[in-house]
Amino acid sequence: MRRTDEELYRLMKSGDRAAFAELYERREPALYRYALHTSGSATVAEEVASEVFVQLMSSGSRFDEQRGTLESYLYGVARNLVRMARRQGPVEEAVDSAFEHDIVGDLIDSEMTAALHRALQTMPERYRDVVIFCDLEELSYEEVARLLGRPIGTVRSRLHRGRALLSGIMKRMNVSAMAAQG
Amino acid sequence: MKQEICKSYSVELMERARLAIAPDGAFERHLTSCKPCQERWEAQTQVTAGLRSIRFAATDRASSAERRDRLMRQFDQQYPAAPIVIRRQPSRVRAWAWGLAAAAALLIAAGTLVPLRSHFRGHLPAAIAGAVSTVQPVAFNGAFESSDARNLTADDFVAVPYAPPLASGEMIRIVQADLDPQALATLGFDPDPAWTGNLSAEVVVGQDGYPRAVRISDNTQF
Repeated sequence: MRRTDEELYRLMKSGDRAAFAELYERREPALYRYALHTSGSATVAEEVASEVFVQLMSSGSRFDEQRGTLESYLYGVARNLVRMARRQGPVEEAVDSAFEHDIVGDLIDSEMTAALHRALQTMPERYRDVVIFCDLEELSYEEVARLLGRPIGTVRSRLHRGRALLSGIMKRMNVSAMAAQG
Repeated sequence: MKQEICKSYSVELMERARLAIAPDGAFERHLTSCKPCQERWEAQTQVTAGLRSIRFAATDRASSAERRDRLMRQFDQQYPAAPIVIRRQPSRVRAWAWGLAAAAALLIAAGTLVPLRSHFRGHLPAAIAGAVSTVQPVAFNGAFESSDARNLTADDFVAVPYAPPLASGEMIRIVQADLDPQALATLGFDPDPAWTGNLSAEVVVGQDGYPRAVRISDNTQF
């Protein structure tokens, strides 16, 4: 039977190495992707995904089951770490170089898609998170609502608003690209 | 009026576009007749395609084993392993065996000590005490320098096996007794099966009342 994140966390806190490893395997990939989409840097994403677990295992971990799920807490920590990384470095430069060289390389060869990824990082956090969870992580509205602690209606409206912002950015880029070609 | 219609399709447009569901029915007819909605539809399908590319690119990542190992080492430092304590469940078999052993030990002790106590406590075994005719306290003199009752055999006394040694100067008594072969056997004699009835014997008894040696004084049966 699959143990919940919270059960694994409790075991981990009692020194259960296997529980920590299981929690890491289960949550680290999604946390990495989240940090990647929000920071645009694979290097930052790796650091963030790792640091989340360092903080989790530390005695100063402030996770409280009464206040929400562990998954939600982990994303919260990741979000804060990305914010700190943004404040510390020249984000724009890091985003461009990281995205084009570290992350996707040949996998995203479309300039438009690369631009979309950059646009994702610049949009307001409340819209970006919903787009990432719904359309990149493919979570249901209910799951995202639980993760963010918001009503489903709010999640849905934020997603629509976020996607509208992205399409607006892409439209402007299309115009620019056409102008550059002309 | 047209704005109202477009608004009523806005949610459907977005959901179909993000889930890549092709337009059909009334929605399809509206798209063909409404240029703004058609443009929105195309923009949204483009967003969906772009996000899908990003999703595929992001999932194509080999997780770092080195980073994971480093984290596990940190965990080991944070939570050092407690000394291994092997907790044994109380074994029923073991308890049962111990109980049996204890009971056997008690039985053996009782089987050994009770007859001895019954023989020697009260100064003489019942078989001997009942047959005592004469009690003559005699000082344990220099003739028996050794406290070993076996020295008494010089006078045809047979030492009682496992009897406590006599202390030097200890008062002894020589008890005249009529003993049956069984009582003699308990005092270290090897009775002849031909013996019948009681035999007269002299028993050396220590100050503590324990017999130390026996001498057959009735030779009629030899």
